[in-house]
Amino acid sequence: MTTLTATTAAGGEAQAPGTGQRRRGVKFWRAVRHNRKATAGAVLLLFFLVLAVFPGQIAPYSGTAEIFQPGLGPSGAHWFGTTAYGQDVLSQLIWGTRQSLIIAFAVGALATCIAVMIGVSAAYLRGAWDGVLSLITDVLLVIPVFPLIIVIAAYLKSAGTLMMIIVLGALGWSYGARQLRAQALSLRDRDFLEAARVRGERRGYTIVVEVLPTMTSLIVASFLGTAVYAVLTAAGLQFVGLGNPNMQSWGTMLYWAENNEALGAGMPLWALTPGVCVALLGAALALLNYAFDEISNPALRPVRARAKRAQRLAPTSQSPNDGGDDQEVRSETGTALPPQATPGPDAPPGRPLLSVRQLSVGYATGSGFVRAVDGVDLDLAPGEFLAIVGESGCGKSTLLFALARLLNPPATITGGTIDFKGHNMVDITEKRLRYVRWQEYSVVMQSAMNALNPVMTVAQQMADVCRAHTEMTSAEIERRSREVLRLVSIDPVHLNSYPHQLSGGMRQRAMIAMALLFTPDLVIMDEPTSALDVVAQRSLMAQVKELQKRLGFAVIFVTHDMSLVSHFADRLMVMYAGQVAEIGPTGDIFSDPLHPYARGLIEAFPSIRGPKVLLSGIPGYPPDLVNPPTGCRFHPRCPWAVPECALEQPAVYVRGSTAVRCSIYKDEGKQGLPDKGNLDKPTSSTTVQALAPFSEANASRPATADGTGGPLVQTSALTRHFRIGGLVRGRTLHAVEDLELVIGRKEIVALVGESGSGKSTVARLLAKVYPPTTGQILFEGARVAQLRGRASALAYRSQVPMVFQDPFSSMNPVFHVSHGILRAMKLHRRDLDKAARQAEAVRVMEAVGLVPAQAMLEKYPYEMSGGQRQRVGFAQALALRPKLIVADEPVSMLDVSIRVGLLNLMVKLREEEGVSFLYITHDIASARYVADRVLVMYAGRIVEQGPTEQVLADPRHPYTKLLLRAAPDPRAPLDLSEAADAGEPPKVVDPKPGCAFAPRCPVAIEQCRRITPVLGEVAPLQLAACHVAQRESASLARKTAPAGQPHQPPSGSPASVTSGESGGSTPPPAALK
Amino acid sequence: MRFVLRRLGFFIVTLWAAISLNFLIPRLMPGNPALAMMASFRGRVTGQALKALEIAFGVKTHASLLSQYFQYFGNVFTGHFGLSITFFPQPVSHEVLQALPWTLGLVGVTTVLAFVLGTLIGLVAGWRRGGKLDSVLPPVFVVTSAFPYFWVGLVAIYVFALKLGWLPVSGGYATNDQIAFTWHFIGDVVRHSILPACTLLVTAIGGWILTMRNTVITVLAEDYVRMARAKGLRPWTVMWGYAGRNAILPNLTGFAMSLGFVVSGAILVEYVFNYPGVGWMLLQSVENEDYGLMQALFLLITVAVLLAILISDVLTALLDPRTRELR
Repeated sequence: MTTLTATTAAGGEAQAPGTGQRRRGVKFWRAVRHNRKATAGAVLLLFFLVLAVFPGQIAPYSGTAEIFQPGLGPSGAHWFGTTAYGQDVLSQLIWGTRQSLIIAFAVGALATCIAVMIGVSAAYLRGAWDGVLSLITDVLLVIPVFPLIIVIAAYLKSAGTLMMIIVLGALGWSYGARQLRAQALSLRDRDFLEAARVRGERRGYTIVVEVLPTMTSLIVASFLGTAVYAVLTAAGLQFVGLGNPNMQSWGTMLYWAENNEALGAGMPLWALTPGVCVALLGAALALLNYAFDEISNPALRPVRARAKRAQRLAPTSQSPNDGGDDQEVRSETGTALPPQATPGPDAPPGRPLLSVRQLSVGYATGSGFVRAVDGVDLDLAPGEFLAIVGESGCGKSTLLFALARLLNPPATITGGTIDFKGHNMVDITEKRLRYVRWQEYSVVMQSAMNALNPVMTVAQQMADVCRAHTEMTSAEIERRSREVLRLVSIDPVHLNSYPHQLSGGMRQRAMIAMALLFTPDLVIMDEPTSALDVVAQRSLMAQVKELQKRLGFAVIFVTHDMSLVSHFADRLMVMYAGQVAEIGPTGDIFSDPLHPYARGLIEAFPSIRGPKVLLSGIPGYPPDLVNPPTGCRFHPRCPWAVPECALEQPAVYVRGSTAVRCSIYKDEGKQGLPDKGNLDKPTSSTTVQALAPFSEANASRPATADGTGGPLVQTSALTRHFRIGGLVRGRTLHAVEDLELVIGRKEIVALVGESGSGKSTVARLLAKVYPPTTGQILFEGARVAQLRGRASALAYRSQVPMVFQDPFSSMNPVFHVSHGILRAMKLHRRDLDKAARQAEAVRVMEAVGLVPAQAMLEKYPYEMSGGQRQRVGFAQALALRPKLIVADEPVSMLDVSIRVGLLNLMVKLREEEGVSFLYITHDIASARYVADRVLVMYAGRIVEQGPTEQVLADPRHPYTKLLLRAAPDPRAPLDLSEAADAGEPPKVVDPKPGCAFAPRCPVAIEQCRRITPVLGEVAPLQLAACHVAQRESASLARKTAPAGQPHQPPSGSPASVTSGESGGSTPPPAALK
Repeated sequence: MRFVLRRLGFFIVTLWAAISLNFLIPRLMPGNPALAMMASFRGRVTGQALKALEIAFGVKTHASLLSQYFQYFGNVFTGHFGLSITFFPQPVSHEVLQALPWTLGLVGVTTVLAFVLGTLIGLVAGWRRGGKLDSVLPPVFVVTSAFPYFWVGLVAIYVFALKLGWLPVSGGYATNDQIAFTWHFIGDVVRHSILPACTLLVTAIGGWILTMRNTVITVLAEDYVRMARAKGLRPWTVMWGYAGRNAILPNLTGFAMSLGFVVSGAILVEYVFNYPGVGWMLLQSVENEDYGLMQALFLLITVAVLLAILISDVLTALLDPRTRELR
């Protein structure tokens, strides 16, 4: 989803590139009709097709009969004259069409078939086969094929049509195969193929039904490309006399023309006309091919057409609801936002640094004109930290890029003013703007990996901006570069590194350092932390705040994560559907949000401290900005909405230092939101149903509550290694090491870890995407690895389905969403007939809250929002009647207002369907919200585990402590000492013995660097793999042993943790629960 | 460095494949017409030259296939390809080396020129998206890139040589010239090369313009280009240092991959213009059933293409720091 937000932010197409790709299949033919190149190509090709099929009817004479006077010039009877042997040139041309077309299509088809087979199997067979097939492809690609064909043709004397097709086809597939392999490789990582695997589809089915349809455009491109090559090569071969000289073809005509010295003899038409035909046919195919490229890659489409469409659409959608109302609101906002009301509470009265009035930004898309930013007012005082928060698509990034004047076409500022330090930023000249940039304001982008130039070192990228703005010497530039790197706690030795040589956190810091080169007055930041893990995120935020306090620059910080900025921002601006919903001091908004949306956002975040309460999230989904709701844009999702809200746009009202756009405050006396309890409006059916189980406070329910005995799933010493690197210097990545995991019936177990910790590998091991390197998985007591035969393997798969992280890639774009659900039942519930499957599909859709179910089933994935798609993921899993659902970060890519709904859904499904969950997440707060037990993973190993509340209240492992400290929490105190880079988790490649966390650990002792710690009990039911924690708890136990808590061994749980092959100093045969 | 070493390994594998193909093709062909050619050599040729041809075409049936194979490799690396029929009794290797400079001068220079010019024009066209250049070029070049090279050559001859009489019709130099390093001769060579060079340039440049334009457009949407604008760099710096530097990398790979295609066009252009290069000689040898010469030429062309690819690989490694590591 990072790409999604990036593109939307870029103001490009309304949807992500992936979505454009998905639409391609559906809207393909319309696109072809609208593409002029495609039309021209198709018409030409059709013309030749007609000639090839009906030469006898169209040609005036026979092509071979030598019946006329030789060498006639053009005349009414012979448009192009006659040949040296007295044949009619025009008739020869028409008869010759057939052979060229046959060769074009046959070679195209043959080569494309070979290319598909080689390319796709190379990508899917992997390993040595892939290596061999790719090598063959590449060798054939670079060997000059034409001379090779000449050599072969020379031995064959003269090549007939068939021979030519075989030779051209057999030698012409390599380019297509290369492209198809690359595409198949990139598809292989898409989740919908893994989903097919988890479902238990056969490989052949997967390739034919799931893979090939998604590669249609590339297959067609390969076909057209080879056809062009075949036409040109065949004509060339015949021209030099390597074809059959008696054949009727354009190439043969050229051969005879050359033999009879057409040009010298003054008969240029002998050579020119067949050449024109070859060129036209080639051009027709090439035009189609190029048009196809444009259709499948929207970025390449002619930009003019889009700009024109934008101009045409913009005025009509000026006021999507009704014109008069719009005007009225404008005047009201003008009065409602007096200048003295807006600056931050501590800001000195005086001229604001940045003043924005009625700013609107829009762009045209295929489906209409999007007003991404609509009438935004904003004042920023010098030195102020303003955070802009909102869900994806709310226009926050577009607003930010408009302020920085970095909008990419077709997005344009359609109205309003931006005043920055007296510069009129809307109408500023390019030259002046260039001068203001970086000296007076700088920009930090979302993903430093993409925002830093990959082919230049950090030093070079710092130097070019210095040279553009100052007369600094090289030595001065280097001194300053070192200075700013030190500011952000990066060792200046990294100055000469390329971006890809730095870690994610370091890249982001380097970009901030670059932004501070000239100590500007304003730094604009677009989600600079969203690509980072929690710990790195926290230390980066602290760093930014510390620098801002010290150097005094103002910050505009865009984020989707409200809690992240809770104690960093002076003021908060909440955006919804392109408008400002609420703006005011951060503390005020957190303690007493005025806008229903702001309230909903705050209540959507689970907390890691304090009492656990049921969260409701916000029902519904953000609106489509092409057709925003009438009246207040939030009213369809608003629990406080009254009928008037749908009719009139609310104005902006001021309460204290806060401005809010909500009609509730029309009444002068209203100072805050009325209590929600007084409203009889139901929120959403899911959350209401989920309420019941939640009130029971399932904090530490026993894992085997229903008394069926034995855990559901148990692993012993589960280990997965991956070989990485080349054949020569191969290394081993230890993704999962000695995993002991127990999941009880109807239990939700959370597996928490940062990226690279191995948690997703655990999910894939349990879902049998790939087998473990060593170790066992026991499912209801049976060894999973020993489930021989397809039937028992399928049986396991139906018990343990998986929900994937990325709802944008876990469904095949070419099928309706019902596809996965129905396929799953077809494979695993053989007893159901078609009607029963259909009925069951409706049932599971309703169970996950997707109504009306029938209509939802018939949608394409791109027609659904991320939250809806993720619900489909759960519906697919449910359709199998599973016992355990492995959910791999199911909510991490969703907007906060939607996340809670899915978390509640998991709890509800556990209660209603009796399913257990392995909930994999990096967000410890959401783990607390849903899970009975939590496992913390670091560098491939479980470092701590126990009942969720207990572990979170009293973490023993230093890493768990670090994670908890880093988790954003509005109630936690602010500590700027975390600014230093807290380090990032290591990649576990060929590890040495010792604790993997030791290099980052504040309490590490000498033992930690030598001996790998194993899990041992540190408190009742709580285990930690830490020498220090185990020592502490042991010494504590000795002191309090007589009076210690009675520690009951759990009943019926046979699990015990054994140390495995690692360090093995402390024998910890501790009971697991 | 590992990247270049890996590419060197690929170079060797491809070379091996080409030599093996050369060895196998005459043996796999029905009736092996090379045997008939050999008959005409008997008695006229003796010694090592005959042996080399025998090994090349599998006449020495008493030796095992494997030992023939190794002998063939030995002959290839020592340049023993036997004698040519077309230029009897010159050794094949001698004739081949005579043709090489002509082709390198014509095809080599024009190919590099077409690539450099095409890349530059493509960069500007993509940079000024929707501008005049950009709205005219793509459709025009989509069409021209589908033109057969030899036909463009024929049209050029007809218009500029025969009708207008500005330039010579064919050949590499006037037949009454002495091959020598005189200004007169060099001027003559240049005059003869203008038409074939322009033919190659016009047909080859379109592809480079289009691919470069498209990659530039893709690269322009990247965050680092937006970042460069945010930094207030001069448009010139953004275009070269950010958009151009990154867009040229895939284009360079594309260049390496399509060299084989360019060469095929060049062969036909040489044929049309009777230009005394490798391609023309290849077709001459086909006409004269001079299989020894033909196969040596095929090897030479392969090696030349592979060397060009190797050079572009080294360039890629120099321009892209990411290829210098791991992979």
